[in-house]
Amino acid sequence: MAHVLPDEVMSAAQAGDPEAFSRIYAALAPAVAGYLQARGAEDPEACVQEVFLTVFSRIGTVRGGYQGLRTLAFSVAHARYVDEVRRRARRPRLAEYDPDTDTRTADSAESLVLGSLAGSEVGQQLQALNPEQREVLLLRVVADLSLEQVADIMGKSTGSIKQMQRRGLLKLKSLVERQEVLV
Amino acid sequence: MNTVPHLTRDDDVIGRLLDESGVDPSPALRASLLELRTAGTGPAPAPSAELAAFLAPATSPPRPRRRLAKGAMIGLAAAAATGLGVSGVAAANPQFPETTGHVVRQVIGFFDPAPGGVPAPQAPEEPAVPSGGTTGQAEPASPAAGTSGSGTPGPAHSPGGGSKGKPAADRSGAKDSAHRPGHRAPDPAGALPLPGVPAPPAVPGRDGGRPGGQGSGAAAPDSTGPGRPAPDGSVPGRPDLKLPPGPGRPGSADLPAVPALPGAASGR
Repeated sequence: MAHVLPDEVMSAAQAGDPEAFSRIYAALAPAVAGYLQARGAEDPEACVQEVFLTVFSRIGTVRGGYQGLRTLAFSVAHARYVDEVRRRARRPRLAEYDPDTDTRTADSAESLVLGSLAGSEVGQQLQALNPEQREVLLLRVVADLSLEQVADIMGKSTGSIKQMQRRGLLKLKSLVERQEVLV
Repeated sequence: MNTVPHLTRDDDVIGRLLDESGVDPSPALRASLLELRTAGTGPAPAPSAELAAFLAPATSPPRPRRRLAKGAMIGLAAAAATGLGVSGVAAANPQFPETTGHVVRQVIGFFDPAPGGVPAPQAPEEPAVPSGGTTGQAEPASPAAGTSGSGTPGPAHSPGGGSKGKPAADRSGAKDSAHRPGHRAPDPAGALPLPGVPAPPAVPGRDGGRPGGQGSGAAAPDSTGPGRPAPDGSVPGRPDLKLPPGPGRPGSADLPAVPALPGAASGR
């Protein structure tokens, strides 16, 4: 899972050390890619590139060491995904209707989401959560961020994040237990 | 520097998450959350070329190089644009070369005043230009006797300062020279027929009394020549030299008195 990089790496990166950039990318890129993939980004890999280009260009403004860098990275990733969702809404794809190619049957990106998780039970269970609950759980579990970091990224209070997290976990629990009963 | 393993295991992370939310953990929920957590453990995507410029140590120097190359390109572009502009101005303005040359001469003169600061030794040379004419007084009546031959020999005497051999006024100093033309050769000034030749200032007077004493040896100059003396008889640029009254000038009738000058000239 995630690794904690010493603050020296951050200092070196802020001084422009390429080796430090490589270590940061190696430590954070898998989580960012998993988060974007779970969110249903159309092209998670390209989005990861954009995220890290932005992060590296703003690394001089990072405060709080490695945790501050993680917050920045997922803030940028979150913003990229939000931009992508808005762009999709503004420019819907126009095409002759063909039921075989109608992707609307798949619940938007969220179902692709779960790309790697789509075939898994948890992937299907996450689709039952509302978007904010899903976002909170992904940032907490996949991105391994704290309540405060998630609140900072989503622009909400820690209390509301905690409440969304609780509701999401309870719903997920009910779905999992229901699945167990069905099985 | 090695990466430090995460302080808590995935189970601990999930346990804390459930605890802080007040959700009773269940094995099924915990298993689902652990599966979800694995989504962030995949391989990192291969960095793009633009991103690799940040990462790969081998490609890290190109960033400064690109800056240098960019600066060099900007400099070259600026120099090229300046050159094109200057050449365009030069092509459009025919006076540009003269102006540029003037400016360059000024700049050179500023930093190296020596070439421009030597007018002092050259000053005596400049008066020599009109001095040739001074010897040949205006409207000489007689051609120079034994002169350079550029002029037609005249029957009369010449003061020797002329250049065109036109008939000059009869002058006493020229008489002897007319009689002995061959004596003129030793005089270096006489070998130069140009009016600009620095003729001995006392040509009319100094040699006037001696045979063959003609200096410039040339025929009498044209009155319109550059060697026309100043109205007061002084040589331009040589205020110390006084010209004898030439023919046609007031006092030319006193020419016989000119031979008295050699004494004064020799005393100089």
